[in-house]
Amino acid sequence: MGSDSRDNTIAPPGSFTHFTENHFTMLFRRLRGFFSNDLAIDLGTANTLIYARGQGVVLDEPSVVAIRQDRGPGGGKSVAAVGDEAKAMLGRTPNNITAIRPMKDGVIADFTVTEKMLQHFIHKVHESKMIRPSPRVLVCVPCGSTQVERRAIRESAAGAGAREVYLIEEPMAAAIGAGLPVDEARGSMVLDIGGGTSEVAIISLNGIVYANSVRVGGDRFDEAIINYVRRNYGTLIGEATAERIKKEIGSAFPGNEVREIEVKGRNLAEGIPRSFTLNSNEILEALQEPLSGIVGAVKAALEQTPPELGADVAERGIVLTGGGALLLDIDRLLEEETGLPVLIAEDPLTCVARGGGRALEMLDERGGELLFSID
Amino acid sequence: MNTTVSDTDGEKQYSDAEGPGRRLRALRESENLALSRVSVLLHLSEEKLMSLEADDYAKLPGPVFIQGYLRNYARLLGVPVGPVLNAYRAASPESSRVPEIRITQLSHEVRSGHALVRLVTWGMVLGLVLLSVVWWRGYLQWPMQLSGSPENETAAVTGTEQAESEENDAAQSFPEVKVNADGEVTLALPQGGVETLEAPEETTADGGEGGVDRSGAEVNATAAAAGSIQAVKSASAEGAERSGEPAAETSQQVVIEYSGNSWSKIEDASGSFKLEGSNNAGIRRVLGGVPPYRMILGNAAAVKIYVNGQVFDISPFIRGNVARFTLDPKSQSQ
Repeated sequence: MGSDSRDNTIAPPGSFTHFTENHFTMLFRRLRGFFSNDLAIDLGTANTLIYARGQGVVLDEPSVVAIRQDRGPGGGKSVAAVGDEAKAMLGRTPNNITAIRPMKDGVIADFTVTEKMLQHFIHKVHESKMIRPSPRVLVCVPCGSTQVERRAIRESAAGAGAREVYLIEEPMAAAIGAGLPVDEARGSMVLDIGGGTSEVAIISLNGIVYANSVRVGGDRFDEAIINYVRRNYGTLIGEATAERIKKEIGSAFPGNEVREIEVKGRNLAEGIPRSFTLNSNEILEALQEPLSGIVGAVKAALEQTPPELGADVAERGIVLTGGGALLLDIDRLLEEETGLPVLIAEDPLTCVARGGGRALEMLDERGGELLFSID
Repeated sequence: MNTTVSDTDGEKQYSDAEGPGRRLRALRESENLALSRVSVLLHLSEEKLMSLEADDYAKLPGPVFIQGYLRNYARLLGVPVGPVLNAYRAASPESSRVPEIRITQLSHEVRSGHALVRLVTWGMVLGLVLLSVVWWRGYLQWPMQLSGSPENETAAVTGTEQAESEENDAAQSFPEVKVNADGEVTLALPQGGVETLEAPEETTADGGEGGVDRSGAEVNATAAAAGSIQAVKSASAEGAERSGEPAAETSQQVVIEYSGNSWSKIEDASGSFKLEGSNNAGIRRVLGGVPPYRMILGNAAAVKIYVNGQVFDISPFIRGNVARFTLDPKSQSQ
């Protein structure tokens, strides 16, 4: 099985991995690596992280772009702001500016804007350099993404100036980034809760044995909070406020203490902004629906896992990564629901980007004998 | 919960060599929590918990898992997580070990900001600029206007060249050449056949018209000088044919003398006569073809042109050591 999985690794097109015996090719690759500036990009729905080889995570910004519609007849569109700056504009823009999130559910929703955003980020990473290199880029994609969605990501990265584009599945990158022993003949289960999707995967011998992706993530939590507040308080709050509520008092499991937060929103009946107080139990109630989606996905994964690997997972536990892992007591919820130990990886937000970076390093070191499949 | 361990205290206590497990066990016992109860709360087997409390990491999975278990355990007991994990990292050097899949060889990675890369890049840019300057200078001096079929050119050049390079040898005995030429025909007859028969006819016919046909005559002189070598003979006979024909139509003689190396390109009005290539010092050329001639002469200072024996001044045409002009011997002789 081990040798099989190695033989079946897909060589990236355009690379020279087919001729590992060829010394010239090896030399050429080394020469190229000498000057190359490789990036691993976690192109997420909420945040985009860039890991530069040898430097660590060099960029962590929201995946938001503000587009300005130039005035006058025939006025074109231009990028007004990207990243943090654009996120501050979300929901606060005048008529001629629209702040949009070009990624939705882990995949590209607006191709050109995503390309512009990537271009901006790649340039930002190379800002201080004399020459802007055309880097090799490894992009993490949700395991549930279709061929069309993957191609869109690949072309968008190529359009943003990448010399070569590799794709890696997010759970694999998350597992490598979390430090799981993915090359062992033992099952490791990883649950990556991102902004748009949650991915659960069982990995053994450098390959994904089972993977499932549900379109539930941080965004759905925010939506659930907005809906809850509208339903129970008759008040409309924005996405940014919902996110703040989630971060400050959101929890996935009833705790000992009840925390409160004061928020302001537009009262739907009066049409006037009003202030009111929310507590953590209410938010817990609001989050029940999206959380059950994640729990369901984990349970389904455990059901579908071959028994040997399931036993390994039961013995060692489930590892949580991604921004969703920062939701208070989400590990306890999963522990109670599955009866298995649940561990939160160190620095869960950057796991995918770091894992992608390591994959890039391995790509150079091991060349054709890739330890995992990279499209 | 009577957690007496404050943040800083904890750090100090846990960084002891005994490891975090024993400390956690002591805390658990002080809270009267049974191991079985903790096992249920943490969803970990009792054996695992015992290994964890004994700081015996060999029986536990990897560092990632051990850190996770310790974090959960510390949280259960209400102890700050940070010091526990620090103590673990201090007690177990393996924890800081990066997983084996990671292979980092970043020491000899050079990025675009590196001095060497900058140097190489600027070197390449300078090299390109230098190359383009050299090319441009060369373009000014010796424009490469390659036209016409190369076979014709070479044939014409070799024909005249051979005739002329050996003309130098025979130049002193020029008057005798004519005399010898007739004699030579008869001598060469057994070898030459038809070709040699034609040559003397032309030379005798052209002989009356002056020096233009000299090349033809010289050819035979050459043949005489070189003895009866067949190869030379046939070549020179060819040369005679080529330069002999147009020479008959003109009455002007143009001679070019080179006192230094020079690249020249000369083309006559009909386009059939061409001379292109470099010429060494000491070469003297007599032009055939139909005038006027279009001339491009490199290193023009080393070139002298005689029209009917008179020096033709090319200095007004020299631009940057190259002379470009059209020479019509008729207008010059008037």
